[in-house]
Amino acid sequence: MQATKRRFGKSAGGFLNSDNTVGYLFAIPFIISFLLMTIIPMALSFYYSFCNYWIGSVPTWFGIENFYELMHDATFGNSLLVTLQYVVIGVPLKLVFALLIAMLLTKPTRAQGFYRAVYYIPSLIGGSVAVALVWKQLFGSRGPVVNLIRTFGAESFNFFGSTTWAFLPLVLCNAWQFGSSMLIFASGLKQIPKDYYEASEIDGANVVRRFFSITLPCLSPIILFNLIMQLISGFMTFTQAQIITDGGPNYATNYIALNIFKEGFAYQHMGYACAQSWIMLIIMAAITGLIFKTSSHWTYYEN
Amino acid sequence: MRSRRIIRNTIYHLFVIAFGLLMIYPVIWMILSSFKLKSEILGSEAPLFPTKWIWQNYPDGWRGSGSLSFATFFKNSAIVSVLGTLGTVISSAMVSYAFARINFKGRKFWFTAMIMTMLLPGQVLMIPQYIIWTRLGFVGTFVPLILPKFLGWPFFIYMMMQFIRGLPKELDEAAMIDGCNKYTIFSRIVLPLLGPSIITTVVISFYWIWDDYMGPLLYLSKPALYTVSLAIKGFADAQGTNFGPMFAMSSLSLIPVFLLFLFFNRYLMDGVTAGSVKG
Amino acid sequence: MKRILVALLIASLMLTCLAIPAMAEGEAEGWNNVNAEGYVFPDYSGETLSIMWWGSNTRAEMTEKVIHLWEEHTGAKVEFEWYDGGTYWTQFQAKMAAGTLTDVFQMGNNWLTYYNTIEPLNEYIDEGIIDTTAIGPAMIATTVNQANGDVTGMSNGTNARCFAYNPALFDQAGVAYPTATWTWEDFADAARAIHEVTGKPAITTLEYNSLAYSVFTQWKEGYNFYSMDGTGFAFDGDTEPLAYLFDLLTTLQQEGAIADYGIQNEIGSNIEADWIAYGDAAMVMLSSNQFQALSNVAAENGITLELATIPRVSEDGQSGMVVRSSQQMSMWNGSQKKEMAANFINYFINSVEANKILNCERGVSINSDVLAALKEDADEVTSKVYTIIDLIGSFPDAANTSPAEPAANEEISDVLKKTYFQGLAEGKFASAEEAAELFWAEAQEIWAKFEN
Repeated sequence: MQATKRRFGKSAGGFLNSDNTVGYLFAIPFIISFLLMTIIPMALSFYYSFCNYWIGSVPTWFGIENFYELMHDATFGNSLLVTLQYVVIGVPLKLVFALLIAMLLTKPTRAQGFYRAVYYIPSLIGGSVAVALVWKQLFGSRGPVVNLIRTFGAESFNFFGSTTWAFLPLVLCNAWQFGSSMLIFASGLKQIPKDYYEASEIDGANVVRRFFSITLPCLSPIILFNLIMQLISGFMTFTQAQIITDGGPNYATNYIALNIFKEGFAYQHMGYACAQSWIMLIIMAAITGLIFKTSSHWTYYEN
Repeated sequence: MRSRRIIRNTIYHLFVIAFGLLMIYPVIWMILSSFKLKSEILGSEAPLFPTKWIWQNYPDGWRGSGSLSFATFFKNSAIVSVLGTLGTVISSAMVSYAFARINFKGRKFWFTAMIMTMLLPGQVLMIPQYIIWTRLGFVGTFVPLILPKFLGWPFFIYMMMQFIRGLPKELDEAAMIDGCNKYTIFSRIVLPLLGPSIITTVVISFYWIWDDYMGPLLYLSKPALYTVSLAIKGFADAQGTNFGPMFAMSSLSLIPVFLLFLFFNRYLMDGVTAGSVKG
Repeated sequence: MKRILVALLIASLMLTCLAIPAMAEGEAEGWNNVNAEGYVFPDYSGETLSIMWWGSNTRAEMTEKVIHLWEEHTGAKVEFEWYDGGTYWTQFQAKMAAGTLTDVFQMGNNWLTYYNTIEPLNEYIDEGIIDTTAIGPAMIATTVNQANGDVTGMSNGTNARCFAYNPALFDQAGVAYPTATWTWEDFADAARAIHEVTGKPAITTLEYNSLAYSVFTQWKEGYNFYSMDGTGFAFDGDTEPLAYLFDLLTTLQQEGAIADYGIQNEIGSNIEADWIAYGDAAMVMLSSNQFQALSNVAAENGITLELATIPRVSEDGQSGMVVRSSQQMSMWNGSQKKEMAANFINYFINSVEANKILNCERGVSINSDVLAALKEDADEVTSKVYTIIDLIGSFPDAANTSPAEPAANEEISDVLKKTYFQGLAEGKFASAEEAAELFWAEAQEIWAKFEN
């Protein structure tokens, strides 16, 4: 590897072809956007987290007051807990669902394109008012789901009044919008070389074996990607909780992003909201870091 | 043998159709609601089909407000989405190639930085970013919505990275022996093989930009520049929401995205292209 | 030679300078600068004014028409933007942080939160740029900062919290309709009777903080939830009124006369989805300017609704009701065009031709001439709104204006909702008194946070 690099580096003009030049030339769009649009806002939000600050005022230094207060804030603690619950239940559900549908729809039939389109449509109405209304009707006190549950004896059962179960319609709504993950899985499936399957078929492997010995390993980089991205978006879940339950009942679906938004914009504690964001960043960085660390054991890259 | 296959196929299709219907129920609900009176949309025991078809919701909705109709809003959405998607594809493919294949100094740092940017909730970055765009003098134009897309979108950068890492490295090495350099490897080897993930990026990013609401809300500041998603929100108010027209326009706004999907999905299907890696 | 050239150049420059205003004046004659009401508009040709507001596209359409009229009268150009009510504040805060607010903006009763962006209008009223001859002092007071007398804006219209009810269901249960002095006991009796007959809840949504404001104000003369100047609470730490309210609501809910919390949460703040519009509930508390929308949905279901006052603690006690500003037009203190902004606000509030277009959609006009003109051709539903506002305005204690909503209000409202829920749905408290005490403790804590 080293030898090849050196040889071709020389023959095609050292500087232009050096890894550093090529790397920075290709990565420059991201670096510009990071320096211009991201680093300053991030640094500011970090600074604000040590300030007493609300939009429109001058931030005043507060030391670790915000973080100290966070430790005693039951609403924030509850937000972390319910977000964790949402992520732990919602993310695997959505990923499994997306992968199964992606596989189901790779069967080469003439209607495949149409089917995929149909299964993709739900993701197109994502956070719209229509979804909020449908969900309220489906899971509402007179809706079909509740009626079904009530026939089993839970007579006064009600999703939007139950602190235990209010999260379920939200998790299902999230899983229902599997379109993007499904598409990414589908294109990942397409990238798996056909001859792998042909070879294993000759070896007499059955469907299940093929799934575990070929599909899963070959798809593992994509699984890692979808897992990381869904985790992040799970932690950041906002719109659906805002339009369907508005964080209720009794803060049962007051997910962390919703809480941060409320603190920052409705309650006028922007500094406090920033402090919450950074705590959240640390937790998420720890979790994604852990996944990246272990991923080398279970993801399989060509070569 | 043959009849068994037919039965199996029939069961497959029946299942896919039945499950698909369940999946798009809310979409059907929305489209049918665009023909209803308000009371039929909101009643908790309202029927799925309108008892009286209100066609008027469509012209009412299309009229928009004042001097601006949805023709303007659709045009604006099209400009933002097409340019934004173009930018996303070009920039994300470039950056992902650098991160996945080029071993440059600081690669790990920049990759970590990219992941970190995704970990901070947009809500706390929103105001500082708005101030930057104001100072640059771009508020009230499409620039804050389009330019960042030409500077890479972390989600798609990382996605394409994973696809590039799935391509055998021997391909690069073989190409080098054939006289390619790192630039031509990108254009002649990586880009063509990245086909499916580029299509995926086109479909997903187009929809995300089309559907985005926060960006237009913050940066457009002139009704003449409003996008469809922002204009649709304008039907809602605490003092009464125009649900019928709102759903009529929501249904219409699905069409471009749906057509785009149908068009590009051909390239994602097996048997249509021979895009898979051979050897 | 050179000197002649310079002289010529200077002369031609001077001529041009003289010619430009003359030309502009000539153009201005073409402007329609006196309207039918005889109001003479200043000439603002070539200048621009920026405005923003929230509301639906219906409101946008009407407002845009009025803006165009003003443009025609003054020759100015208006740059306007509008957003839905929910996200208006995000946009507002972004502009506030960047220091790029519009010259004129719509503002709510939460103006205390954004006080440092607002230009007091007193000077413009004194100078007569904003004409208040047809506006009663009580109406101006709806947008005045009681702490220092600053006029924070001109109200776009007033509203009042009140009750809408379905007379058909009252008839069915054989209960008398609400009177102007009905009490919470009458309210409870009616709710129970209706629930018994229909088997459905008589009330499906509750506005907790509005209810609390009312009960506190009714409890004792001088009591209020917040003090008038927005510097604190105004009930001496007396938790009795709140306990009374909690007890009333909890009992009714346990009996089934008020819908359970799940249904309340499901409907949320979407007034048009309230069961009253579908004949499945009999009463709802609302702001009078929501009545039109609610009535429209109810009419689709063949239901006619009426308006009533808020029940009182005792028949001969305080009404606790108040006519307040529904929203206002305020001026940005960073504006470079304050006089022009004042002229626009004046036109928006006082012009009959403008308000015939706006048609009290934002609330009942504060200008008595405008209101008289509008009442002439009001439809049936709007007339009911005018009637209830007039009735409330005639109560002796209604002269008290509504206190300003302090910045802590949003958070305190959420705590009230939480306390109510925990007491009600989860039975967390032994008594309504305990719940009220807990709320009071938390509300004080929140208040303290805003003090520093």
